[in-house]
Amino acid sequence: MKSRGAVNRRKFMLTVVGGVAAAALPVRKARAARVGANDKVRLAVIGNGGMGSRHIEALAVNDNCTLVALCDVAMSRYVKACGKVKELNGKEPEGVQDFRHVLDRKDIDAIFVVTPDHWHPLLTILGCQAGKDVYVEKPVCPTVAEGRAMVQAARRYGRIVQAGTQQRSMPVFQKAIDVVRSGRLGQITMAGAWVGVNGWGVGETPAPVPKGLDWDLWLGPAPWAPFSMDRYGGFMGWWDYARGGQLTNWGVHLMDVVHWGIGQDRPLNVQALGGSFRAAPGSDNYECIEAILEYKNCLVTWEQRHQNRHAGKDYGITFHGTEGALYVDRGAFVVEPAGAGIPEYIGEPEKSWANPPHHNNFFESVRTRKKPIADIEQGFRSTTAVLLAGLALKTGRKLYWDGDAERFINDEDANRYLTRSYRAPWHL
Amino acid sequence: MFLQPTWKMNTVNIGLCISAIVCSLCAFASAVPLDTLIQGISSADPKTQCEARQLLPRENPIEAVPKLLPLVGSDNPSVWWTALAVLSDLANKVTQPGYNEAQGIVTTQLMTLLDPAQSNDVKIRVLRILPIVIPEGYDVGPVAALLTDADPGLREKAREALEVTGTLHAAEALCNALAAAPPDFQAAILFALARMEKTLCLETVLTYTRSKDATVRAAAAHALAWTGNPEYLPTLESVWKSSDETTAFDACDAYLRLADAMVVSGGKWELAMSLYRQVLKKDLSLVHRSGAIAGLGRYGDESVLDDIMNALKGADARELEPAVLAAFDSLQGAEAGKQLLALYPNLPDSMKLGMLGIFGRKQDPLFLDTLNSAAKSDDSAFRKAALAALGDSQLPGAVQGIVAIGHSGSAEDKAAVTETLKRMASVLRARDDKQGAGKAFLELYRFADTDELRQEAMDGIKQFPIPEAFDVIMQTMNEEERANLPPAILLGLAKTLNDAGRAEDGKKLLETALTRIDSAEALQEAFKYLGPDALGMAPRLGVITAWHMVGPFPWDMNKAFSVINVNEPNVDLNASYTSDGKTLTWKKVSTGDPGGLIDLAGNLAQADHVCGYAFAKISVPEACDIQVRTGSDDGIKVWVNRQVVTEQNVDRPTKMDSEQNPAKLNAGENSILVECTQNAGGWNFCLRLTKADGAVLSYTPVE
Repeated sequence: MKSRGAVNRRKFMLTVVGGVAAAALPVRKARAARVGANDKVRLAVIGNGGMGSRHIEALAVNDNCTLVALCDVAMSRYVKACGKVKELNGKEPEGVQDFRHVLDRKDIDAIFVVTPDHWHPLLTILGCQAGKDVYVEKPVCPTVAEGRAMVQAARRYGRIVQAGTQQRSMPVFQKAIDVVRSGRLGQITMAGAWVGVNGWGVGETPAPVPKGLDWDLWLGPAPWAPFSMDRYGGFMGWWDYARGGQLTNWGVHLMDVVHWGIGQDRPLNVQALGGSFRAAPGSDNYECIEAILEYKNCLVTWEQRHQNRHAGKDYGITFHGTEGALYVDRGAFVVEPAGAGIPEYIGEPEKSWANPPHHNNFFESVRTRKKPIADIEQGFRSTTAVLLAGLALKTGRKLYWDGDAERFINDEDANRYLTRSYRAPWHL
Repeated sequence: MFLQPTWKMNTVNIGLCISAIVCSLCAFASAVPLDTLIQGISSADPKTQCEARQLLPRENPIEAVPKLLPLVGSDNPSVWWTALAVLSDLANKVTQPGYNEAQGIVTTQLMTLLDPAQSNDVKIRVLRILPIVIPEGYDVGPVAALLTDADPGLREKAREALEVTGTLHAAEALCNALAAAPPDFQAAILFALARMEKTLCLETVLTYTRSKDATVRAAAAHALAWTGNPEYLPTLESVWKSSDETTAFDACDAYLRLADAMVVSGGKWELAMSLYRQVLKKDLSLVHRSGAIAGLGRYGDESVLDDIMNALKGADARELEPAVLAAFDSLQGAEAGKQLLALYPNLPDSMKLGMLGIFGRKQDPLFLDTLNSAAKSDDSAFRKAALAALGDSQLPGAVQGIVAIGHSGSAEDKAAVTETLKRMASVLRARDDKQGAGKAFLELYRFADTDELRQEAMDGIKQFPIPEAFDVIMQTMNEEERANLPPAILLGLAKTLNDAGRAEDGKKLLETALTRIDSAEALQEAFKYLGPDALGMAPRLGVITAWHMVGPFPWDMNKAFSVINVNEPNVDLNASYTSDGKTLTWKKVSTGDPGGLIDLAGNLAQADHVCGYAFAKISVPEACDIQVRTGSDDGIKVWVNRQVVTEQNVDRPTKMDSEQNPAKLNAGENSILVECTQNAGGWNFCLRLTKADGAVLSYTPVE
């Protein structure tokens, strides 16, 4: 069996772009000088894969920042990403494999955490401890305890932490929420979110670790497992890395808008059913899911179905008020009945999942120290809602939630799911 | 051992329990035999496998689990993953209330897969399930035994499983394993204990703060920090002082965590504050001092301001600014606010800019003057910061400063002003701050540079009319456009003008508005805007609210309105009538409802199968064709000048304008007589007069 837990948190081997030079570096907690009102924010992006590459392409042409370093456990990814940045703005950032090098650099103000989900909390926390501000992709955490630890770290070290729930920065949602909260739909008694199904399979084919990939570092705090493309490329289907598939992927985006609209972020209780009825019944994440979360004076539903379409939208959020219902996705919102007198709003087409206005909001916060539009507390609570739905599914029972204590009420067995163990030597 | 396990199964008591519990769980039995379902898990047919996966969790866990265990060792991932998924469901099932016995039995069944004869793969797989199901009080010996396994990978899996299990026995097992563990595993166990937050083995943990290994000492410090116990202060300080370069951060982080926990646990506030101050005074890294400053801000009061400001006197002041601003942002209380305001003038510009943001977020009028003053700055950075802060303040008084920036600033400033006004208007609208929202929408209208935005602003102006908006409407809309505004908006604006002392403008607008009400919905909307004034306006709106009434008289629905009770339609208000042995006379009744809803049940009698009469006289200057609009609960018959206008022998609830019937009024006095019937339940009616085209008809009541 492969040796595990070999990474020493405090001493590590650094690999630089195009070279084999390696050196043992002690980790010093670095911090940059404060970013001035007109300064560019000096950035590193950790995680240069699918979503990471989208962020990098948008950031490379953003005048509010300078990409100083790109970091990925796979050398091929950061090499490619560095080349792309050079192509876009003529300046090639440093490429590194180990994030600790990024945290050690004093000339980096902020980091983007765009790794698989299981790394989000620790990188955010270490980033705060290293004096960096952090933009972290959603879902911000795989468990509730980690999310709370992220918020605590942000506060303990006075850092800005923005969640990648970029719909907060999109005019179509801002206008839709304006309608919902204006009272023109009457009292909102139900809201819902819907999306398609999980499509991940089960099983894996272990394979040699590809050259240039630090698999142990990819696993990080997750349980050790042999390399397989099923895990590496399809991490979203695995409980060890992402807890819910679509439920925690699109679910966070959509539930975030639900919370925004109803003005609440603490469900009272949650129930869920789900199943994989065609194939891969042993997969961690169910194909079809229906969940109901109860909030004060409002029910919220989550639908994960085949051919899931409402008001012509394949995914979205709906708010049902006593006087009308609003359906919104990233393209438009529409209010029914038409007699309510609120015309359909068609927004700007979404050009990339990396949203420059959301980036800019983060940079503005880095400069002014004002909490960002999607502060970590909010991102954590939106993530919590879908995590709870996943736990209701997992435990097979209705769970009663104490939003203040962040514990299930009278259900200590279910409370075990609110945390996870970190593989040594990683720890929170 | 610290604890005596209350759950320790042997083959005898397992057998006894199984036989007792299996019977109590027979209700789980599925129509498909259990063995068939178990075979289905291994099926190559996905549909059969899916069906088995779905149905097996319905089975009795005690019977199903042993049959599933062999599948965990399968070489086929599809089979063992599916078996684990079913086992996970069954494990969760027995953790539900009422399954206590079954939970222990299933745990024991699963523990058999940790037998030394089993492969490491099987052990690792079952270690994924066990943390779900191990009950509090259960002996975790088989898992604990793996903590000393020769394979460090298996040791680590056992440690992870015990950490998630989180029972006292799990904590005890981890604690017991410390002595024999190598230093790196000791550190891993200590961090696990830190997360488990059990008081059980704190004394043991304490001994590891004196370990020769700095990593172990730092981990032990973490395992004590969560307690918030000030007795550990010297120990944690000692760990911190003896830390090396690679462990200094964890050691100091533990110290800060202890301070946080002290505050949260209560009663040790002074001590916690002194701890933060101690960190601040030491020659530590910026990160640590930043943490201390943030802690002072999060939990402190105005008394910490001097400490924070002193920290800013060093050479690295600029690097500490983010933490200082975070601390100031967190500080609560009126006195802290006053002192922050006093500090502001003497701060460097870089801090001032951040402070403006904080003043905005405090949402306190105390800071408005400073923000409004910054809005007039020549420095664009200050104007920008002031604009954002004024927007964040959500105070109606901030609109003035926002507008000032718009008038004096660049095109870029104007765009930002528009955006801020929009946000401000939206917030004030949601808060139903009529004056504030009206002002914000009006200013938004003035700054709007697109038709869309102008429309949005005008919608807001209509919703929250203020006197200043009248001028905008007069300036920006022609007569036809004004005439097309909803009447309720015009009425609201008229009222606002009147309240603001612009009676003449208000009156003009009122006249326009009155001619525009052409439906019950418009009237109801008008009532909302007119508020308490609506009742006094009733004659202007054609609603009759004062009547003479008499009743009740017996009434039979089958006879409709055929029985004459008061010599209708020629009634005499001085006459008296005998009904059911009682003498009935006409009496004056008026309603407090601006829509004219008259409650006969309250004014005449709580009775069924009765009728009553209402009579009123009105005067109009000229003869005219009108509509008589009625609603009633239940039936209604109306005479105008002794001519029948409508006759509805129905059983229904009242809805304004249910009938709209033509009639003629004479110049001068006119009489209106109503007979309203009561079958059962509510008993009331409403009546209003409109012009022939539906516009309201003003009349003069006649006594």
